[in-house]
Amino acid sequence: MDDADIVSLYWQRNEEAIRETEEKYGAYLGKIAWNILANREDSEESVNDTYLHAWNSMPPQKPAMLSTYLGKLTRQLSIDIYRRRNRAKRGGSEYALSLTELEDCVSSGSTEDEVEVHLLAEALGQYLRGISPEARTAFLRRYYFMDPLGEIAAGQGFTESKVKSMLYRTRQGLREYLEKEGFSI
Amino acid sequence: MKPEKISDALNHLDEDLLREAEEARNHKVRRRPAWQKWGSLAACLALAVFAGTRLLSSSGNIAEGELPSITIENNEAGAFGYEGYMALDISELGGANPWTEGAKIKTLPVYQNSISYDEQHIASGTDLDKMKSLLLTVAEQMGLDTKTIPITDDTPDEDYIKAVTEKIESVGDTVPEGYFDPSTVIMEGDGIKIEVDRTLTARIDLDPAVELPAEYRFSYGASSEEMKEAADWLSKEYSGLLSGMKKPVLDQGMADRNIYRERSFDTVFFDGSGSLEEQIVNYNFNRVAFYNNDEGKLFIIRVFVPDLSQKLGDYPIISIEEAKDLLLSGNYATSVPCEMPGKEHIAKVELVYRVGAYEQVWLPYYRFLVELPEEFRPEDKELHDFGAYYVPAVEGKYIANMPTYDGQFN
Repeated sequence: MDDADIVSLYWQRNEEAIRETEEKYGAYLGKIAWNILANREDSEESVNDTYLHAWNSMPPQKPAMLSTYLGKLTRQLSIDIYRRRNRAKRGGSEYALSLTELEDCVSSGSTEDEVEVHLLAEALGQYLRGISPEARTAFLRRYYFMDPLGEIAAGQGFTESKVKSMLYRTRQGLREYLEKEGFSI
Repeated sequence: MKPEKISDALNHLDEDLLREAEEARNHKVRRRPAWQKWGSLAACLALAVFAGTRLLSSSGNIAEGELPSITIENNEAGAFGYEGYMALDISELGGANPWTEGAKIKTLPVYQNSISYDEQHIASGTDLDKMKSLLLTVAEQMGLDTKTIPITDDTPDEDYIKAVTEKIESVGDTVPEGYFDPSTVIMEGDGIKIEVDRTLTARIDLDPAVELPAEYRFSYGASSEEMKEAADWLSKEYSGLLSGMKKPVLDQGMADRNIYRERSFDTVFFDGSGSLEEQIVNYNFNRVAFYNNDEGKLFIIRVFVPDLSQKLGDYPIISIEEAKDLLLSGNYATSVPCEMPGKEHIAKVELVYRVGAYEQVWLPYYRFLVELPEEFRPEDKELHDFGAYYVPAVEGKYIANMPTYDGQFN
């Protein structure tokens, strides 16, 4: 079913919307959740929560890109679940690994000097638009979708070591950019 | 700041950025929507300053027999990732380049890329007939029944067209002609999916991935020798893909290290027969590459057969010493954010074509690998970082705008 038709079902408050969403995007959302949580039950919970949030948000929302819209919901919900269950320690998932790598961009500072997330998002967007499409895709696949390095390498036609090096340099570049833009690292 | 903050902020990125990455994950060709140009304004300005990589076509009227002059530009954003190779020692960096320092070469061909891109990254020059012809050839080489399996393409669905059209029109723009035209032709059957894009690269996805016999190691941690043995098996198993090569030669690539000191070896074949000039062209353009996944199985093959029909001519080539003089005079292009640090830092030179999809003219360059200063060295101090600096190998009188380092990296 087309995205526009699925969105229409949500607007009509027709529960078929959820079944159609699950059929079309269930696997895609499950992969996002799995990359973050590395746990089947938690992933299922996250994806089910995504359907609930989609149901509650449409209307008024009318997303043009349903996959991106749902993916954002799953990603955020999965991170919330992860944090709830892993306050004491990290481990296991691609999310945990991606956080460890992102430490290159920041220092282990206190929370007092943290900036508003939306300002940071704006700076991130500007930085990402300035780098090569290959570097941008690799960065977002790793740190937004939390895809394993091997998958990124294969998808982009690079070796895994090249992707690692590229990500390392992108993180270093991001750190410099954020410092230049006045963010407390 | 905590890394979680960066991770959280990523959830608030603009949708077009996420969409681009999402398409890459789904193996779809990236389309760069027109509305993105507003968001990219700063990046475009920066590109204009460091004269990126748009190569324009040859100048006006050329007398018969005269070689057209070449204008070097670049519209590919190198930005914060630069071309550098890490190694414990320069002797580790290699590859099967048929060119050697002692090569006696007077001329080499220069080609016009038949595909060009406008400022919104919309391509023109797509040749669907050539794409389909390559698709059928590769499908037959892979043993697919081309008479029964249909050819499809990546024309977007109505939802996508509608959403993008609305988005573009919402900023008062119109959808450029041909914007939704197909950019990839596809054939799928028997666990094999073949996609040919406009650059005449055939990507073959194998699902399930193919397991090599137990005695072979085809994985990221394998040694050069192990990968050679695996390559030998692959060349026999997929001999159809190499059937156009009289003498398939294995290229294991640069074999550089990552920050964890891990080396990886490519598995690429090119035709090593014919004159040295022909071998150089084949090494740089006509290649078949095999890729392993994390489990050490073969899961992707790429066949590169770019369109070399628009040959501008055979251009005289300068010597290494002449190229070195140009390098030391600042006549080079590089993505390394650092001025060439000096003659004593030159570690290696080789002759290569820059064949990126966005290069508008494919010409040979001397690529100097230069040891980068202390500040570029990885935290692991035993690793050295060698940056790539390119000097056109074509005689200067044919270059309309010899690259000049201007303090920016290009």
